[in-house]
Amino acid sequence: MIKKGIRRQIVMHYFIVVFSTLLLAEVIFLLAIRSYYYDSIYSHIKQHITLMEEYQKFITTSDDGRTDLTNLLSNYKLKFTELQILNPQGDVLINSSEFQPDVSIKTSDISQAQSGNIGRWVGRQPITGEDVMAVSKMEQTNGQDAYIVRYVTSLERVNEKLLNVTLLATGVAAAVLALVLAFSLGLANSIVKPLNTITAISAQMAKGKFNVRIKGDYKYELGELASTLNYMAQEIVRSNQVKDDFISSISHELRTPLTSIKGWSETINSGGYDPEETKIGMEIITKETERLIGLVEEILDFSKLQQNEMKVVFGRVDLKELLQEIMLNLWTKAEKRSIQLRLDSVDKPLVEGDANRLKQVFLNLVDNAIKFSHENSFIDLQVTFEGNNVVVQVHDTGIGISEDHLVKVKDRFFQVDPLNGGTGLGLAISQQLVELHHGILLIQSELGVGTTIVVRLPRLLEEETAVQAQETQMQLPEGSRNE
Amino acid sequence: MVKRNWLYIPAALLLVMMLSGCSFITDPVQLMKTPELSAEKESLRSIIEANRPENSTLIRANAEEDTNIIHFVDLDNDGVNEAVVFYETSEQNIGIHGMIFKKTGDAWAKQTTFDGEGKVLESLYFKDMTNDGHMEIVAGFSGKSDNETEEDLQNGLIIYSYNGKNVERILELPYTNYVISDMNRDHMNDLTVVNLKRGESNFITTYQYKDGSFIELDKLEMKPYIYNYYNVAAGKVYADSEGNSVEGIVLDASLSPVGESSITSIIVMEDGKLKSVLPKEDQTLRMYRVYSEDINGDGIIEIPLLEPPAGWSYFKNQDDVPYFYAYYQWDGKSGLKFVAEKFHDFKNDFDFGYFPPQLHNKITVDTKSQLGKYLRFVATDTGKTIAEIKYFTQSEWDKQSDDWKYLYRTNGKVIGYKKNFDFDVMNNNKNKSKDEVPPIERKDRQSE
Repeated sequence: MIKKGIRRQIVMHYFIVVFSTLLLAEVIFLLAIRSYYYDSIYSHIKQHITLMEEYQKFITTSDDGRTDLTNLLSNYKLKFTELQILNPQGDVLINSSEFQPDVSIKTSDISQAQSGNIGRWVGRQPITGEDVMAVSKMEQTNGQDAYIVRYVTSLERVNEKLLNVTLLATGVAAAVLALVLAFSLGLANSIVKPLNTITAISAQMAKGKFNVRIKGDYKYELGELASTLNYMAQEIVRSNQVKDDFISSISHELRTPLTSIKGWSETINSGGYDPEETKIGMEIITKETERLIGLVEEILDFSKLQQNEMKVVFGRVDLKELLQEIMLNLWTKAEKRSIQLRLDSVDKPLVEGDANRLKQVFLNLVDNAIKFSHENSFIDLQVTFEGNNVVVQVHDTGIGISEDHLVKVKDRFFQVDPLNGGTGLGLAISQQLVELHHGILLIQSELGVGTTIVVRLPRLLEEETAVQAQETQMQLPEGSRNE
Repeated sequence: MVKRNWLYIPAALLLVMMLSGCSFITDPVQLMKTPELSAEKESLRSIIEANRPENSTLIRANAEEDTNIIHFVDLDNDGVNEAVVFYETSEQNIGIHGMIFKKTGDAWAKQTTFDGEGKVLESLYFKDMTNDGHMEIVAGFSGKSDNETEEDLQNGLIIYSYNGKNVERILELPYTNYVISDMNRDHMNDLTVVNLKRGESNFITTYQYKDGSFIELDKLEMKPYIYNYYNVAAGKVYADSEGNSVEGIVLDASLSPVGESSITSIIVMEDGKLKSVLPKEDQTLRMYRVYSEDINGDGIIEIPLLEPPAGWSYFKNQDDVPYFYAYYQWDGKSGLKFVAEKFHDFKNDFDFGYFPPQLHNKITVDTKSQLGKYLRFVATDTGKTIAEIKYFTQSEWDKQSDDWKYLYRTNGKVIGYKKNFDFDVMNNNKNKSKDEVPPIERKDRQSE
């Protein structure tokens, strides 16, 4: 017996379906063939009776009206049957066998014949126990019931034949069933074997061996399952790599300001607190500490976003004003590398959002643009309406991102060049913040040509704003208050 | 590997089926078979088959008490039935032979074969003719073959006696008709033989077995101017009021081969002498052949006469006359006594009556009636209508069946009747068969 499982279930299903179909077909077939055999014999006898009736019309009965039984018997005689002639009451007058029946005949064919039909009865002879068919018909002379002719034929050979046919049909059915079972076993194996392999490999993966892969060319759902698992393992490996990179880069990021802080504090300490030197040192320490705080805050933000604990206060934000502010903030940084910032905006590109968070997003985007731009280039900020959306595009002509990296840049901790400094969290945070504002962030880039980052946010219409503004006046974010 | 084995099994199975020559469908008619007999019957049948010569067929007698081919009779009076069969061969001299089989234990064995005479077994009876408790075989033979239309009056009668081993002929006689009865009332069967030579002689002789041979009890000469006896019945012909009955023989004779007219003779034995009790034979003269038989169940044979209803005697065409069947018994002297009367339609073969006895001679058919269309039975004295018979086609009958009651049905005709007098119209029709009324008419009959 096959042990419990999909294999058994498949085989059982096949078995049940095919078995019941075969059973039904067999039963119908056997019934049909049985009635074919019986009906053929019946109609053969019936035909003979009809023929003899026609013939009998031309035979004049003796003038005293008494029918000559012996003549009737020889006229109606039919091969392979026993012929009986009965009076209308059903008593046997004469029969073709050498013996009179021992018991009177009370089978249903007689009563059917008496009521004017052709009687047919299939049953067992009382003494010999033989299966027989009896066909009876009332014959009339001059419009009056005269006698019943009754043919009895043995069905032994027919039944034997039917048994043979039944056995054959059963044999064929068994063969078909066996064949189907073999096929279904094959099919079950083709499903179960890959499943077992996949299970074994995923068990290994669960133990931490992410370098194993599911080999073999599986089809359809199984193939998808296998490749998904493989992909999962690959992704786990990659994200581990990203995390390791992050840790190494964050420790590097943390160490640089700390080294600087430590160095300066030691210098001040050993330098006898020269006021000039101390001032420079303290300034640097403060700056580096700020940088550390910014770094830690970024990490905190990200962790909040991850745990869905980021709180945003929605208000009316004019993106044009927001972007102008950002341009001012980053002016010095851009100026250092002789990069010019240009803004091209529609009037009143209003969105509903948290001004601080949105500022954080665009600061990050523009900062990145400056970071990866060549010197003496332009960064274009463009604000347009697109249907019910406000679209902000940050376009630079910098180093661009290769196609391989393009899909990963929004991942947390991913950095094209881990040694370049930063946490690799900027874009990931920006993306999540935009999504928090029901918007989308898209990156289009070509290596060596430049990058365009598109932020699409739902537009806040003027009328709604008026109503909402009154209601939320008290909670207006800083950016709006400046209007 | 495993999968392959799976495939081999059904393939092998199929191959075995094919090679075993089991043709799937055969003509069902080819599979028909004569039903088997029970083992005991089959063993007897096969013994008989084995003992009868080739090209012979088992035969039945033209007249006998049953229709069996194999007769089971206790011939040697040992309480176990022997089996007697007759068969015919194409031999020229003696075409008919008989065989006797005896059962010992469970097996049948042939005891003896005996010869018959002529070519046809006319009659066969098993009767104790010697009064010794053993059955004798009484067989009548004739030499006629099928293509001879003229009926040969000369047949041969043989009585065989079986003693347990051999068959012995104890009587051989030429005969025209014979009956076995007890004419001299000694409670022993005697044999009365009619020997008719058309136009030459006509003798009736009664034989009885006595002391090892048959002796002639008496011989009566009759007039030879008849064609043949179409019905010979033996039985009671008279009973007086004290219940004393007279046994006799009733002979229905047809007078010529062409006409249908017939007469009846009654022969009784008085003081050991045969006597024809109706001296004037023309008092039984009839225009058609009719059969003498016991119609009222009193055990006495009635003689039918055909009487035209009053007023119809002068019709020339006999076929137009609606004859009444009047049944008579012998009155014990030389006359006849009326018993019952009915109307019978020859053409359509149905009865109407019997009429009540008090209407005898007082009922007739209106002469305007026409056979096959409409008959009106009227009282002769008052002229009142007693009953009517009308012949309908099926469609006419369907239109009205309320006024007329169903009487009889023939091919294409339904006969209905009305009656104003209380008598059982169906009497004789009913005797013939209780179920002869077609099912669609049963309701009508039940509502009568």
